[in-house]
Amino acid sequence: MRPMPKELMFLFNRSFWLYLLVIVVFAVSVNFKKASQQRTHYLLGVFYNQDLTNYNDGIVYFDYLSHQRPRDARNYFFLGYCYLYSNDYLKAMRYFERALNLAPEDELTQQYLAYVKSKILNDGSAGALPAGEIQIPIE
Amino acid sequence: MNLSKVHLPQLFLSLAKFIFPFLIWMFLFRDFISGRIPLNMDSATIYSVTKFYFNNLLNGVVPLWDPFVLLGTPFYAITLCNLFNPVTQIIPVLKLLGVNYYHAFMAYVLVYYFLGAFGFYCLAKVLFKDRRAAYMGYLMLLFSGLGVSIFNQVTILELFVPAVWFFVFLLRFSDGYRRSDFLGLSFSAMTLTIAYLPFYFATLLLFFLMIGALLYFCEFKKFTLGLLSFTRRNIFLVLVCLMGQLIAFAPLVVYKMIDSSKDVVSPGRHCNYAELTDCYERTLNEEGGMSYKETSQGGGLAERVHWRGLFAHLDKASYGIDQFFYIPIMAFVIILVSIFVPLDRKKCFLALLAVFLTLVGMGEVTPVHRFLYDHVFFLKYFRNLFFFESYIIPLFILFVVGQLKYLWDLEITNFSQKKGMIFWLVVSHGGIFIFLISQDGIPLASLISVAGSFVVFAAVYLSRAHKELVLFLGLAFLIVVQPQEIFRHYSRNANQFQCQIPSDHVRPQFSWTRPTEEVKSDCKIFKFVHYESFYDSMAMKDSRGYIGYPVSVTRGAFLLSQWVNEQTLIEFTSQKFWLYDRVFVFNEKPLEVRALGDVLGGRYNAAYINAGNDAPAATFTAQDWGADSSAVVLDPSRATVEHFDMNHLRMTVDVPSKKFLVYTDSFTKFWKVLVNGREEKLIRAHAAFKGVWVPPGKNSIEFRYDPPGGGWIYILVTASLLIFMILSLIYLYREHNWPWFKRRQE
Repeated sequence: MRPMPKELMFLFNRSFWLYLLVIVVFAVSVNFKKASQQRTHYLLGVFYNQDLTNYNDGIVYFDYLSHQRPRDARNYFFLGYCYLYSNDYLKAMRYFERALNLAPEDELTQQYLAYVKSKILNDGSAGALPAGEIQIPIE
Repeated sequence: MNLSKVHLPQLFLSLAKFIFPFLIWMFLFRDFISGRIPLNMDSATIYSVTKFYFNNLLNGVVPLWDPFVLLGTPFYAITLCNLFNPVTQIIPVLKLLGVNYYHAFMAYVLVYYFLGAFGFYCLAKVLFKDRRAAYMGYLMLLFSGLGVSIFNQVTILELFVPAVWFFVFLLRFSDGYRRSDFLGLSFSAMTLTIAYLPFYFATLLLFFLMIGALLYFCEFKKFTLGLLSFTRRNIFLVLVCLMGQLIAFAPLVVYKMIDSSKDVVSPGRHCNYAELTDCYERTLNEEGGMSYKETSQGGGLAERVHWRGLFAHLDKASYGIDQFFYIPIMAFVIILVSIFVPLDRKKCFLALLAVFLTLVGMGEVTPVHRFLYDHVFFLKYFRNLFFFESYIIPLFILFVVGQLKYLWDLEITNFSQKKGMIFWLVVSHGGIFIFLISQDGIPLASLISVAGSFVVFAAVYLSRAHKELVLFLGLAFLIVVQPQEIFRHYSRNANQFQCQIPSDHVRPQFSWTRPTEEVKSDCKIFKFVHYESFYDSMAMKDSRGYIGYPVSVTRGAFLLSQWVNEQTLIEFTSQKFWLYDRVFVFNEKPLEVRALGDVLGGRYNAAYINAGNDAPAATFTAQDWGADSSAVVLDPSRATVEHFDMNHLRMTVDVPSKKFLVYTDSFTKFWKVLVNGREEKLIRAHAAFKGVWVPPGKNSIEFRYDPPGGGWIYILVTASLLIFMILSLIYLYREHNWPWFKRRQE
């Protein structure tokens, strides 16, 4: 058998091919739908374990959901909501705006966005948050 | 050892190189180490078990039974918490020196982690023959998520440390067939056996052998022949090591024997996806192992690790999760920069091993785990597949070390090579940088690390001056910089878990009663472990007679908790001893099960004993066991406890007439009773408790727990491991030329 030419050897004997192989193995053998269901369930469990009050867990959960279902305004709203309660108003505003882009009629999002904006401007116009308790979805 | 032959400056430098980063790591976790933020989840449970074990050991008893919780239960966990490891023996030594149990436990885990990280350095060095790259591997591992597991999932550490040393000694042994390495190998294998369930390591070894035989067939053959030749030359040593291994298996065998006695539901907590009664039936009917659903759903890597999670929201890692799959970003940068690096068998081997273990760890989302579950028996005996991260993270970092070694040795001599390299550094670092800033929740330190990495690599490849120093210091700094921010956030997030857990030495006192009121704690760590059974076990005080979910509880206690109203059971068991005039044969049939509830609730003067017992029993009609008289609580003024420890209760009881005495501590067939020095038949009373006939007058009654092997088996295992460790160290010193000893040269 003739040995492989040096140029070809140089090309094929690279880590790149191993990386590619690993990606292909995972792409072929992992059931991503099931994995996504498991992760969603797990992150929700983590959030729920802390009585839905640890907003760091909420951010991780809704951030994951927003990547899984990028057209769902609700996930962005709750991401903004969790950032709001983590006192990160800039990020909260960003996600309320995204939610509003997807659901422009949503009054609750509008109210929250207005509240966050006034908080950022710190112009004293920040009134109370919209009345009524927000139910974080756990389905 | 002749200390005059020790080369002190070299020894000091070598130690400082490893200890200094470890001190930085300790500083980052100072709140956890000091106990301000207590251990959480499984680490808390293991601390509880360890405290209970050593506290009793220092009282002169090897505890085999826990009489304080769950109405008395076998102290099963003795087998699964690394209690016989020589390093763990630091705890009683420190306790004797005046350190409390919490800090003694912390000292043990810190020493153990350091040994593991140092072992990893040795492994990387043996594998790639490059100290510099191996040291970077040490830093990456030290500042990875493995260290965080100390505080909430110390099992990961217990799986990782002996496995690392096992492979260090295996590689060294295959190199020179030395007795010291063989002893080290045996010691590591023994430690793996007693640390936790050995099935995780068995899975790793299975893949190691399969992939090894495939990629290293000739070397594999050569190693087998070498091993045979070594065995012929050192048959005595090999037999001793085999004996050691058998001894190390003894605790697991005892566990299995108690488990198969059908007296204990263990461990029912695995039945996450089954009805309580199904779980009980299956556990007791010894169908063997768990269902596929139980092993694969929940606890897998698929739910816990996501590729974005390796980079984003690292600052939000919660102390309420018993796992933090984290690898410093520099590892990923090196992986990308080294994309053009040539492959070799070692790196392919490491990558394949890591990939297969990851696929198994992902559970039911890949077909690999299902295949193994169907074809390899031990896959049925463990769940919590995320524990495989104790091997996956080190394998990944080992691969990075291999790539780094090539980058380190790379000599760029001409201008066009320099241009190409700079182009690639810009593309790779730029790519990572853009990816990072496009994600939400990327820590600033990640961006700094990537930018710094570009500067370091560019400086090294553009200028030949001080290449070694720049690369060494630059990489070391960059590896450590991101974890500083991540771990700082981790500590801050864990602040809400602040509370105290018992850490003082206790001399247990016998109490005639149990509490009836539930005790609760606001501390957040008790969201994950049942407060009463956890706290009371550590503090060695009686918990109320509540069973809840069947976590290693006796069969009778579990059944009783299902048949009888919860409050009835709690109130009945609030008294430790009851006296009856008669007994009633009981069959586990619905009508009689209901009657049992009435008997306990109404405190009728008849104790139920199980059918099949050949104890004297009379048959009564329903009216007979009615309300003609009541059972009597043993009057503490007519009884004296002469001796009490975890496995043993001796007391004097004065009764006016012949009575049936019921001790509301769980029955198992390994309990024995002596009345006035003579062994009598111990009868299962009220389906769950210990009962015995007592003649009128003053009697000495002694209850003894005597399971297979007794306490001596654990002493033997501890002593064997200690002897093997000492022997290994002596042989290592004699056979190896350690750099800081000049013995050989002289």
